[in-house]
Amino acid sequence: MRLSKSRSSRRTQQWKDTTIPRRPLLWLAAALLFTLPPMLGNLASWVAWFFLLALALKFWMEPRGYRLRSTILKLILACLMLGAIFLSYGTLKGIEPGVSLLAVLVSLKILEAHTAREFQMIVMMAWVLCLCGFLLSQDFAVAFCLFVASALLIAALVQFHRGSSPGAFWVPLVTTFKLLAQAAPVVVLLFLLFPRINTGLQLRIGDFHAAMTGFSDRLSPGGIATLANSSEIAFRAEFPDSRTGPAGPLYWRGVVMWRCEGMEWRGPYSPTSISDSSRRYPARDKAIRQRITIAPHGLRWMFALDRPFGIPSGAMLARGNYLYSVRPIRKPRRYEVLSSIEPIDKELDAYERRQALQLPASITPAVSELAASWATHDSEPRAIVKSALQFFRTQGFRYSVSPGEYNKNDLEEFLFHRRTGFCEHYAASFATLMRLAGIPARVVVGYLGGEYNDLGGFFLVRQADTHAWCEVWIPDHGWMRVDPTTAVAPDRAGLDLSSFLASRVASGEMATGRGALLTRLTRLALVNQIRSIWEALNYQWDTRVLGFDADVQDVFLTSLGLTKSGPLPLAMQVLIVIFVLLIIYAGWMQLRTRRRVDRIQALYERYCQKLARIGVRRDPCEGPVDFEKRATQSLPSASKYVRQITETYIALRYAPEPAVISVDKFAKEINAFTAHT
Amino acid sequence: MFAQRMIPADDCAVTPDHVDAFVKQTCEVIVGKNRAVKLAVACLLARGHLLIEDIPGVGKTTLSQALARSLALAFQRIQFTSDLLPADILGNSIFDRHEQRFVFHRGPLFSQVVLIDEVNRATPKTQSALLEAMEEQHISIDGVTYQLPEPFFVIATQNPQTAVGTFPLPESQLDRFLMRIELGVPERASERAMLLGMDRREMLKELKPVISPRTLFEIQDNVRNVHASAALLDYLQDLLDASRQRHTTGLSPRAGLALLHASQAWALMNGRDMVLPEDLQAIGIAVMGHRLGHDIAQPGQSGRTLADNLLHSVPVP
Amino acid sequence: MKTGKFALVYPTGNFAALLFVLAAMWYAASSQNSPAIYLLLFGLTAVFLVSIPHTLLNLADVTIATESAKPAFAGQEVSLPVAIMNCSRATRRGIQLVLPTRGGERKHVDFIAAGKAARVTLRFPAKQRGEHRIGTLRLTSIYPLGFVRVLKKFAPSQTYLVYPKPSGDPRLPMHRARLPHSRPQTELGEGDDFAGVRAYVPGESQRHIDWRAVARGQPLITKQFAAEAEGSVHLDFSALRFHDAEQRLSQLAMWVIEAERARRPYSLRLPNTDIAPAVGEAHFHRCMRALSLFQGEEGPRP
Repeated sequence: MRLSKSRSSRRTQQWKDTTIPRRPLLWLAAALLFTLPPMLGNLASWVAWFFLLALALKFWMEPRGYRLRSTILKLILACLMLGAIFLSYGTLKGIEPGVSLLAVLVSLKILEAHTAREFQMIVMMAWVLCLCGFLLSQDFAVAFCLFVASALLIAALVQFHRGSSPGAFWVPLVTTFKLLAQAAPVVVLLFLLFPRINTGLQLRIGDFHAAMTGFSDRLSPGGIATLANSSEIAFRAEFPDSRTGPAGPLYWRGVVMWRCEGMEWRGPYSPTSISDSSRRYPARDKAIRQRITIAPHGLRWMFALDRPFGIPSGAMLARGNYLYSVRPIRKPRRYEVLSSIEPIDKELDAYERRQALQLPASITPAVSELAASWATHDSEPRAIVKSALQFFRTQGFRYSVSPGEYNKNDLEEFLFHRRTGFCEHYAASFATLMRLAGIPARVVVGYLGGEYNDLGGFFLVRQADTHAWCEVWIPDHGWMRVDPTTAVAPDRAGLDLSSFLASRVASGEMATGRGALLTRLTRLALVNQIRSIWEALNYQWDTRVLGFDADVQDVFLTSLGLTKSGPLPLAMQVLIVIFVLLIIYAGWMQLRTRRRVDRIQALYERYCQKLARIGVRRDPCEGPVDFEKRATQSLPSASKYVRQITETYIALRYAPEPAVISVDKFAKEINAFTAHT
Repeated sequence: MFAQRMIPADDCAVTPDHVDAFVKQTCEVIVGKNRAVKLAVACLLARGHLLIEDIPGVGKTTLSQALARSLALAFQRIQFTSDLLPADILGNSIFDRHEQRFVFHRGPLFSQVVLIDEVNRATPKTQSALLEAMEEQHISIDGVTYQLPEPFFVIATQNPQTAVGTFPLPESQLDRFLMRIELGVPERASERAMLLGMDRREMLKELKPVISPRTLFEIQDNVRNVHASAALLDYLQDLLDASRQRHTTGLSPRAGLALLHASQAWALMNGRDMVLPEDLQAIGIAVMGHRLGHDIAQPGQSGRTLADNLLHSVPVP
Repeated sequence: MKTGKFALVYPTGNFAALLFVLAAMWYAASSQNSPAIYLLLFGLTAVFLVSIPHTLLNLADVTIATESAKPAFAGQEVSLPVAIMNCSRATRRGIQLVLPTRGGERKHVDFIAAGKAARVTLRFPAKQRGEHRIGTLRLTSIYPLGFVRVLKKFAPSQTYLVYPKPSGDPRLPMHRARLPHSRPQTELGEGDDFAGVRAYVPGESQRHIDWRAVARGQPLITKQFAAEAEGSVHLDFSALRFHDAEQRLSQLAMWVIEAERARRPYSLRLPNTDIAPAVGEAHFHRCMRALSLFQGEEGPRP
């Protein structure tokens, strides 16, 4: 300690490099606070707390001149932290312990730092923290915080170099915004065009985050109801051909469940692919094109409106006409898909018929009788469907988010006693009843509706919009969608769930499912506006930024015809464009801040430069006559012209009536001056 | 070379010739001190007062007498001593028994050219009485105001400040002198010429008036009409700004006016009707030197050095 | 004089740290194929690139004017006042003035408003007597982000004077002017009776400075004490016993200071210079200048 202190004493003297000024420290602290959000959910919670504590302590210590001085104490603290990290994660390898370690080191550095040099060091470390934040999460909210942190770091640097310049605390922000605005075109250029060379060095860190969200391959009673309050985003959909999409309710097909176990239904363990080629493509005007961006959910479902075809790459069409991803979806994925308006299948093969009529053994007689009674009354499938729906509509069934616990064998209990259920209860029981009545039926789980975002022109579908409905086989029609829930709650299909629930609450039909305050808030126009802007940004982030990975960029570059020459020339071209841009910036700034020189003075300065080139340099403090004397002495040959020019200059600049001689004459004299020498 | 920009003949035909003759005649008496003489003349033409700071015997008295005689002006010399009272220079009201009333007897200050020897020997009280009279151009005694004659030109001399038993002029009052010049010991050749030449006193007696008081007034009026362009005023203000930035006591606005008037006079003496930066530089040290000599932050730097620094560091715009 | 027309730009130490961070980001981005990290990487790169013209232009239309430095004695410090002038229409910030050749003295100016100037005083040791050129001055700035440094060189033609270091016997030489009718008169010197005050002469002993006057904000003045008169002093280079010319000059400088302090007229005779007896500030500096510019008996030194 002492040794290093004496060694650096000279610099300390010159720089007075002993304290960190307060304002830059404030900016830095603000930036560091914004690097916290990704840590909060992903790291051991004590890391974030320690980080906060260090920041707070620094502000307490700095004015008092305290800091972490003792090397031994620093070492002990570092070892303690290392131990704590090991205890928290059981390992020191991997991204989370790594980021924790960095966060802890930054905290210790903050406590220790006391020089300008260390301040700059912390700023650089904070940028690495931003990077780590992105490794932990790439949510829009997190990204937003991290970019704010980055901007604040720039502001901290600007404030640091401003020193004691006067001005309000926000002035560095102006400079920062100026820098960022000028940097924006460069960023766009680099982001779109700069080749992303794959190093091949893979760092496996993405998997831990892929917690599975959304529905599973099993539809058990109450399963969807638990999602009803989840505002997590499932996917977003755009309709490139018509902005607002097709008329009527939007049924987003997720998975088709064939296996009936009474109140519980299951999808296939490993869906079998059906070939796409045998199917006939519908006419252009009978198809709806959708562009869908899925949020990572860790499973393989991919969504599309009913009857999808034109399978996107990396997906297959499973039996039951739904999309199934080849790999689990662990990062945002974007694809285009077509959906037919009209039914596609005209025939039901024997295997599928057998599958669609399979029934569990646990069906109680009362249920079978109910189904049989419809079938005997009218064997026409449409009539059976109609009487089943009539049953749900008239027998006092209620629609509720919290219908109570059901077992998979509680079909009878549901149908005859409690008669309260959510969509999955109705879909499961309806499909089972259809099978009992001899009509091939299956359950489809997916999403219904979606919130239309005006700004982004897309539908936002949340987990809360999860829905289950049925399909029944009508011989001359094909698979027909039947949504028994609409029989119970007829307006459900027209709205997304949250607005539906809200309207129910408003009309007093339902107990408040969500917090009353939240419900009331969502009804405020301003809040909705902000929410919709946020969602639009979020969508843009997911589609425009997160979707633009190396592969997409490759496609993009190919479409522009820029890949022919290879990545290196392209990089060079991008850099040249950026260089030109920087020169333009510099020229523009120079023009705006250059000192104003009037024309006479500028001409005279040019003349002085010409003389300087031949060795007679004017001292800035020298008057024109003195300079003339000197110039004629050292350049007797040019003395005539020198005298002439000086005379004109004086007449223009110092004489009582300068209009006598025109400036143009002076300019001519000066232009001619080179010729003589 | 500035032939076409000379002052129009009908405006004031006398100016250049008269001034030239005046300067020439004075220079004959004060050998080898052309620049100091020219500065003194410029000071007179700019209606300012002159402070000469030098050791005794370099010709201060001779210079002032030569100036007075060449202009045919009344000349008075006052030797300042530490027991001199304000009344001794301004005048006294004395009871006249014959007329039974107080009669004001004018002091030696009531003259057109006044040479005050060793101004820093007198007490501050006397000094301020003198300086007030210089500034106001009139004297008030017992409620009566007496106008001083026109032109009124004070040449004060003082020994270098380091001499013992003096009362240095206060800084605020130094400002009342337009210029401070130093005569200095003449060059060897000039001194030889002086030793070989006529007795100075004889020469003074033979001096003929070159300019009548009326012509002097005209010239003094013309000085104020010499054109100072915007570019020149920029330069002047740059000098003032620089002095205010650098020194604890920068140049006052009065100093700015002094610079302008002195440079106008200098320009006129060089036969020009406009002021050039060179004019400002020529009179700069004489005008600024005594006004800058009291910078606490830079002790030991003489005002002349500081003024010279200013002129050599402020660029001509 | 090569004025600072062109500015050089080169990276600072922080740039290395930035490169490290950028490399880390690039590695993470390419291995994760993560557009978000690419965006962060490109953002930081772009801000860095854009800051280069900002730094470069931070010295545009900024120039310096050196004022003449006060003469100093060898071994003391020369202080050189320099005005940094901002002729542009924007405030310039974070400017450093460096004098690399003389001890690397640097001065930091946080800001200079448009059209204004800042004054700094560079101090560096005066090593050798004589007239020296100031050497190249450098203006640098790393504002706003500190990743690149812009550099402008100025080579003022001004010189500064270093007087010989006064050393040797402080007692004045005994041979005095033979005045025919010399009568004992009071002269100022090292006596006991207080005789008045006068301005401080640089280089003289600080023993008699009226510090109370200084505290009142007045310039440095020295209290004088009267002693027996001794007439004028003749300081002759060739009359000194030392062999070394520098030693002789130091002794002469010492005597000049002592004589000036005692207000005794002194003359100075060097092999090719002769200064008549006088006293006063101008005379003092004239003698000191002759001493510091002394080139040796044989003529100019190589």
